[in-house]
Amino acid sequence: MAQILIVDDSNTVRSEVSDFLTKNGLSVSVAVDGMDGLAKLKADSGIKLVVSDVNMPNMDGLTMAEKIRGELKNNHTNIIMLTTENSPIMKERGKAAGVKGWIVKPFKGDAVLATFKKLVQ
Amino acid sequence: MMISDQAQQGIQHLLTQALDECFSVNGQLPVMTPLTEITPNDNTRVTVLTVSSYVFKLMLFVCFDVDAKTKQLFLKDAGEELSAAEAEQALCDVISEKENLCCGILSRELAEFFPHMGMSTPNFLEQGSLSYMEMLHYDYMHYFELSLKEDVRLQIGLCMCAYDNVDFTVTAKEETAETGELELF
Repeated sequence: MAQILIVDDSNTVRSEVSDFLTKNGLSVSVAVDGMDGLAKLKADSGIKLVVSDVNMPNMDGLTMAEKIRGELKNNHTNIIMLTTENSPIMKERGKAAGVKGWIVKPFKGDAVLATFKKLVQ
Repeated sequence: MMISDQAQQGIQHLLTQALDECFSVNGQLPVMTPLTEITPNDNTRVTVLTVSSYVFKLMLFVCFDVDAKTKQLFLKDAGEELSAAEAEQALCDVISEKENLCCGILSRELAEFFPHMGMSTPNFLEQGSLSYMEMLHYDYMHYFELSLKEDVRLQIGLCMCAYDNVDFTVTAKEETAETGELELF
């Protein structure tokens, strides 16, 4: 069982984020796009936090967040977007979908580790 | 349609800032040299990412060679443990993510002038596609070489197609968006 699911189409980002979190004592699984993310979340009830990119092929991160709350009826898993996007419109869509927070890439692990640890408790 | 001189200068300024931030190696800034065209070889790979607004579409082409020095610079020792195919894939992934970060900066800065900016994900092109750049009917094109550490060179193409007159003025400033910080809702 993983505590955190990293969803990003970039292997570089998946590796960077998951390596950092694993080294800091958190268990992590990864998904390559929103569809994969939904499947991984369905299959692992232990996931407490989803950290997802926005722009991805097949299914984007905001659509995935809407489906997590809608189709999966999962209102307990925290969702944080990790993206190059910083548009207020996208953030509003994220808020409406129940997204808990927003990080503009690049990922700076030390800046978010303490909060991630709280969110998976 | 027309892209004003100051808009072209602004785009170049923002792109230079973004490339400096994304392609610096150990604090060494990349050196940009204008080119008249992109000249690929058999080992050249091409990745493209689109940044769009209602009035223009901007495409950034990043061309790089899959060779030992480029792999060493971007993959470091990790590349030595990989097969040739895996190392090529890893190199493509690292460079396309840097391009993604670079276009993210451009998109955020341009959003100051053009709301509703949007971005694609990085895509790879067959290098033969470069011969057909004219078919994009662009209004502005700028080619240049980006020289990095260890004599690694990337060829960059910035192509802009306008759907209306484009005019804005960029004033020199640091990027405003806070990166890496978690904004809780």
